[in-house]
Amino acid sequence: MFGRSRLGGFFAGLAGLFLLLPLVAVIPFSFTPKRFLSMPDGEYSLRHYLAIFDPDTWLASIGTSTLVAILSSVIATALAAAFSIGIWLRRPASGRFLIGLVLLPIIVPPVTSAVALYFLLAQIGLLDTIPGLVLSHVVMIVPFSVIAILGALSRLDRNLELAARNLGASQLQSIFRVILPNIRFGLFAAWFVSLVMSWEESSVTLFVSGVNVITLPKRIWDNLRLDLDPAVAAISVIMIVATTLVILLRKSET
Amino acid sequence: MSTARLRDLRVFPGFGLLSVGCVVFLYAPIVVLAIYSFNDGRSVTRWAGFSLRWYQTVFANQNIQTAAMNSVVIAVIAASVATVFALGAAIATVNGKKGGGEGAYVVLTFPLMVPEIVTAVASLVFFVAVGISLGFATILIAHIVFCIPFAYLPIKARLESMDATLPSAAADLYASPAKGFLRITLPLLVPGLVSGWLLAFIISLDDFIITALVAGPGATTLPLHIYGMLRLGMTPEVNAISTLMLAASTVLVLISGLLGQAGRKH
Amino acid sequence: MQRAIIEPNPTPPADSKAASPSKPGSLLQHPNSVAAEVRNLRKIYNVGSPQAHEALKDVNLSIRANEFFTLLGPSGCGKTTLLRILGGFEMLTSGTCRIFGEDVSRLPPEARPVNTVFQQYALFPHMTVRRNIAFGLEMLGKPKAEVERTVERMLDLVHMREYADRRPDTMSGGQRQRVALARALAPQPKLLLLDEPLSALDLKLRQKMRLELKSLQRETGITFIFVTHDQEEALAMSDRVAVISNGHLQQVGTPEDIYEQPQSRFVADFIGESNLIEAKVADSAGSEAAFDIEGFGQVQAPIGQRVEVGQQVWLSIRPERLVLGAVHREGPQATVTDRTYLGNAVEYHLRAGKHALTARSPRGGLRGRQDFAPGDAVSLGFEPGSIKVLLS
Ligand SMILES: Nc1ncnc2c1ncn2[C@@H]1O[C@H](COP(=O)(O)OP(=O)(O)O)[C@@H](O)[C@H]1O
Ligand SMILES: [Mg+2]
Repeated sequence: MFGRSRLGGFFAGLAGLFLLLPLVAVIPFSFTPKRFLSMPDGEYSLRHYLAIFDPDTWLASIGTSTLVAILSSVIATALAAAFSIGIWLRRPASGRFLIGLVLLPIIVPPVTSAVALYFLLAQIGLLDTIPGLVLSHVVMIVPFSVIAILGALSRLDRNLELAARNLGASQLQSIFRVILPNIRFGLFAAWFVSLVMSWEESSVTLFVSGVNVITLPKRIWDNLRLDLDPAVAAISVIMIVATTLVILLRKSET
Repeated sequence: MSTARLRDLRVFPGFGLLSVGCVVFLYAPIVVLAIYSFNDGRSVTRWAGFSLRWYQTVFANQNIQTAAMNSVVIAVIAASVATVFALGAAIATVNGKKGGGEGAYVVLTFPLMVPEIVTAVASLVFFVAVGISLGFATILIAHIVFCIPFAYLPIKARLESMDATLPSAAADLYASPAKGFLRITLPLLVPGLVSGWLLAFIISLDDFIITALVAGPGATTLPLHIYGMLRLGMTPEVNAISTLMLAASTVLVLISGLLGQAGRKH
Repeated sequence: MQRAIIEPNPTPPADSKAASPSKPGSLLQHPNSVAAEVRNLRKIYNVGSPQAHEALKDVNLSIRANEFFTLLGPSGCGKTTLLRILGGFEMLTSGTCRIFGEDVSRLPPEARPVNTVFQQYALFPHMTVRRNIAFGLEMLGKPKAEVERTVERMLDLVHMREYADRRPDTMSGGQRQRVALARALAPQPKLLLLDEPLSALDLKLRQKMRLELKSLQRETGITFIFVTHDQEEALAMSDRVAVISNGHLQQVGTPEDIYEQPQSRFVADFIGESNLIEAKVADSAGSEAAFDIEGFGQVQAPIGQRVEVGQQVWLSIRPERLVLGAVHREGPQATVTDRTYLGNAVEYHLRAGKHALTARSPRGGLRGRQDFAPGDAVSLGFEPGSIKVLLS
């Protein structure tokens, strides 16, 4: 019991309202029949939802985002798994330090990451290419994958690995046949988080790509800034609905 | 078990290398960025000796000063207002655990799950629909709103770890609800409030996407300014200002971590 | 000397809205005045929801001033709920709750002349011992000098002077318990509520604190309402005990009453140990009746209330009052199934027809009393007045 006043409830309600209002306000805008972003007056249309199926613009960007997200998430998960299993197996004296070092980039301001990656990609000639974008996303994502996989490893019984080795498995065999299968849920979680993060990454993406390689967030950005395209509202609604579905799905699992 | 086997278990070169490689991979871009901010030459690729001249340029640049000032003012106000909201929300949701607590929690953290670009679009559309002209005010409102979830989580965690009979004990000892809150609940929440505020402050200070969309023509913040500078080309000045932002974030996170540790000892 | 530490006549908190009808100092003059009274008290948690749970069912209770009163019952029976209703932390669902004559049912905790020692003490972790003890006095707006004087007295009272400037998290359970006690006593409440204050302590300390609490209550003259699930604790400390089971008040009385004259199977079983045997009334004449026990025979016992011939009752006999003898004697018989040596006594487990019984013999087979081994047949004797007749 933390105070009997209603003030807390009032603030909670107001905060919730502020947070949800814009997300809800976007919905009617996506049904406008007009060519520019506006509130529909009586007439509704699905034309901007259909516009998303244009293979040259929106579909192409969704494809690019998907490709980048799959590549980045697989690479980031593999790297994070290698790093985490390495630490878990060898337990070096510097283990805690190394883990801290890998997690620390989480606090780097997005703009600093963007400038740094822009600088790096410019030097190696990968600016505005799919490999360059994947590299950038991997750098941004790896710390989060490491958190998920270290969590799974910390729940793993060390004796499992010893038993496998005792039964004559080589180190590689024990990793692929004992450790990895046992942390498969952690690996999946790490991969999924990476996928989502890469799919929606925008602050760095906007800096390091945009002419040849246009991801979905980048196209939203451009179409909003350049010509107030209502398709932006339509795709936003789709993403909000998708997020809600994911949350509901996770809730119903637990 | 033979010693050979034991050694084999500990010394496996591949993974050690991978671990170190991972760290190098993560830090290379930032380290290079920081190093070249101290370059004496104009080039961002050729080293011409150590110098602080780019930092001097940054500090002398009126536009950067204005942008930085805007960023700090917005971050201070946004973090403070968001913390007040978050405090009220945390008290309400932890109180009513059995009722709407679960739902309130989902609502308050929902914006953390939605892609940032979508939140940005939604905020912009909302401001346009309501008819608020874009500028400093819209940046501030947007920042207050997206900071609430970040301020909320540490405060809620702190409140949940607090002994729920303490306010009862205060009331038992003749404290009115207001006095009990001020003398007991609030002091015990201070570590949560501080980390919530700092987190909100950092998030506000660093934000680029939402700010850029709701800023309108006039107003600018430090991340927006850096983006503008970068579009004109990479200069060591950009390196210097980016490095400064990184330093600011690191210091704030360190402070927050130290305060968290002190709070736990308490 | 200690008597001076707390004034024997607790005055009500100055700005408390719960002004008592009895004037300060009147408590000892009217030792039989009522400190707390609940009438037809019901408490339902989550009223109207599917998880509605009735924690207290029509409880009527009257607690006298200056009494050490104990609420005793198994875990989950509603003791804490009753205490929280008295303290104002929980709203009652129906009924009334009076403290020194005033209906406090709708008053918040801060308006009641009552203080509480919480189950986990609930000491304020960011305050020193001194500040914790001073808190209630400060909230009452007492002058600084008086606050300081009282805090010093309290520190002496609970022997915590050395720890006055320490924080609670650096102290042991026993020390925290003393601080919680001092904090609750400092505002000189008219009623002190204690929720299992000894349960977190180890056995030695618990036994020591029993005596301390009891003498503290006598010295201060404050009415204590003490909650425990430990029957030994309740019998040792209390002037009167209320036994609660599953939200029902089972019996109220002195420790002797409760132990010697249980009025229900629950009380007979929960307080100490009892053999409970189903029986039928065979014959009833005045204050005595004869009871048939299936596969066992007939026994005589005094009765307190009217019984009908053929009525179903339960007989309760304490193990130490069941006397075993050699089989040549007349009357009920049993077979020893097990013998357990307990040091100061020997316990026999017996079977008589379908009944399993326990008998405890203080010195076992040593000195005079006969000892028995598993398999032996024994005759059962009952000390006069040892059989209690229970109707429920
Ligand atoms: N806040 C509550 N909400 C719902 N049920 C409760 C609550 N508090 C206690 N109960 C239930 O009421 C009953 C009595 O609880 P309590 O008074 O704490 O018992 P005791 O102190 O005797 O162990 C228990 O069954 C408990 O589960
Ligand atoms: Mg209890």
